[in-house]
Amino acid sequence: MKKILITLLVWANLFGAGQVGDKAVGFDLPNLYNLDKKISLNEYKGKVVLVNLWASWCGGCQEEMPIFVELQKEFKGSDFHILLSTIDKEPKNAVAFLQSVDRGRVLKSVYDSEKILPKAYRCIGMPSSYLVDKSGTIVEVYVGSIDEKHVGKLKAKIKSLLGE
Amino acid sequence: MQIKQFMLFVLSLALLEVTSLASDLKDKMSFGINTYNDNADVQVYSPTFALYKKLSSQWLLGVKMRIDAVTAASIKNGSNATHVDAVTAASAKESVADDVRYAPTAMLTYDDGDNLVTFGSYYSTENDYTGVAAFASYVRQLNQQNTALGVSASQSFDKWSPVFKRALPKDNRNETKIDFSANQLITPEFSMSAVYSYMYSEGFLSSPYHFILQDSLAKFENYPDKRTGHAFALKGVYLLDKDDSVNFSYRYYMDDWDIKSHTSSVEFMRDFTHDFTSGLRLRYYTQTGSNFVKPVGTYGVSDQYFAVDYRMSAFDSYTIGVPFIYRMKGGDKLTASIDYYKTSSNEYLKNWYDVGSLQSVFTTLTYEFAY
Amino acid sequence: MVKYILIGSLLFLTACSDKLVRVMPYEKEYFAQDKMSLSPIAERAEQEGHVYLIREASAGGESAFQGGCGCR
Repeated sequence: MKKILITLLVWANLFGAGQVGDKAVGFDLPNLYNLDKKISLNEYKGKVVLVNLWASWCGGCQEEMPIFVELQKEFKGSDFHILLSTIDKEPKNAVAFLQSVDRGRVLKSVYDSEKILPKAYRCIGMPSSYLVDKSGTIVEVYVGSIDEKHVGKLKAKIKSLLGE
Repeated sequence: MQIKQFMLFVLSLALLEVTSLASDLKDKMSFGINTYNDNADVQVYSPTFALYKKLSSQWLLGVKMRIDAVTAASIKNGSNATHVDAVTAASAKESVADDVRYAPTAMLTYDDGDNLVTFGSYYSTENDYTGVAAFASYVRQLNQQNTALGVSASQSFDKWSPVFKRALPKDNRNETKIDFSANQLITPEFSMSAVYSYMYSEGFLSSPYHFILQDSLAKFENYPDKRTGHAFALKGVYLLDKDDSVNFSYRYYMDDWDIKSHTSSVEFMRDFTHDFTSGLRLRYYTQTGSNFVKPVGTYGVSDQYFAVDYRMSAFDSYTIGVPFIYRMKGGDKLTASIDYYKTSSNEYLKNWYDVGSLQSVFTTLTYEFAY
Repeated sequence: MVKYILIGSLLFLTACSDKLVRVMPYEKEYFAQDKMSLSPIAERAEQEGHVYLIREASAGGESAFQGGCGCR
């Protein structure tokens, strides 16, 4: 009996929030570039969003950021938005890194000092990205950095979600 | 029952629509210079070079080169200021003998975030010694990268060719080394590691130049031609506060020559600024002597083994050093270190090198950058 | 005997794997820092490896991540 319960618990853990088919976790967090103002996921209702959980100390996050800058530029003016969320202990470290790869401030980021989003999404790796469709449902989860090899598939998926 | 649980867990992972991408491999290059100087007249200057190139997102090729420019080393035939060289009768002060050792290494690494496999080979050549080795290691990440289990093995095939063409009983020296390690994150501020090493050497295990000179006895060093050793080590690193940490380690070594040793070290590290880290490192080592070493001057004709190398006798050593790490823009890094090493007094050190204790300073300076 | 110890250890590790997940990926900030590495300067580890191998009679206990150096 105990073994069945443990197995069920493991399954329940794995099938917690932040999986494909779930609703994206809502948030209302400070803007990294202006901590007095907040950014809410609700502002992106009806849009396609890639929520990315990152930190300046994470090697994979550093590597994929330039790819995100180019990706956002490519979909400029469309209903696709990349929304970063950093868990850096010091926001100045996150700002310094972003400014080094994104001078034009193409990307928006919130500052999640309490690590609310990684906990809510049951994040199992850094970085993690969640592709959310116009209805607010998670359609893809990426654990680890998105590189040139995988960004093609991601672009195709974004275009199909925008076309709906 | 536990196997079933494990299988269910693995199956459930397969059902998740999670695209897992990982690996931390980078194109990197580094240049460095290491030095070693001691009071036994040994000076070594070692330029180093390393190049790492990603072949794909999961494969990395690495080549390293180390050149040791040695003065006053083994090719002095073991002579020193008060002993004349047994063969050429030249004393240390007269000869400015040089030896240059070239040691290239090549390795291939596969990393998919959960599995890290490395295999490679090492070659070294100098006046009187050639070393060839192959090595491989596998590290598996478990428990959301909280646990890492690793195994590595290396096999070397070395060969002596002494400068004065002494006919050695055998000229090869082969060594097998197998390590098992486990690393576990305990808290966000503390992690620990355990390592077990198995070492087996066979062949000509002494130095071809060391000899014993007593009344009515002149013999070259002679050791057993096999040696099996085991080492057990525990290490940890702990965050004291956001700027300070301490890492520590302890190793117990034992072999079938009856040499047993304890090695302990502790190092304090501090982030003085966001870009600069330094600290202080202390290491203490103590070993027993081998079961065939005898006090200086007490060997007899009927002894099977002869040792004149101080490493076969009991002694302690201390190391104190300072590390420097400077992180630059773009992820470049400049690292340096300086360490002072001193052994306890030992009659074999006095006998051979005419020094009470061995004292040395060794340094490293390396610049590493992504390209 | 060794076979059973190895299999037992593996089963133990996988069966209580959730107990061994003690640090979540988003809590690993400190482990990414140089000062929290067991061997903060790789080049010093290699250099002192050579020095101690030549100046002392012991070996082993280094991490499994390092390749063999074949030094004497």
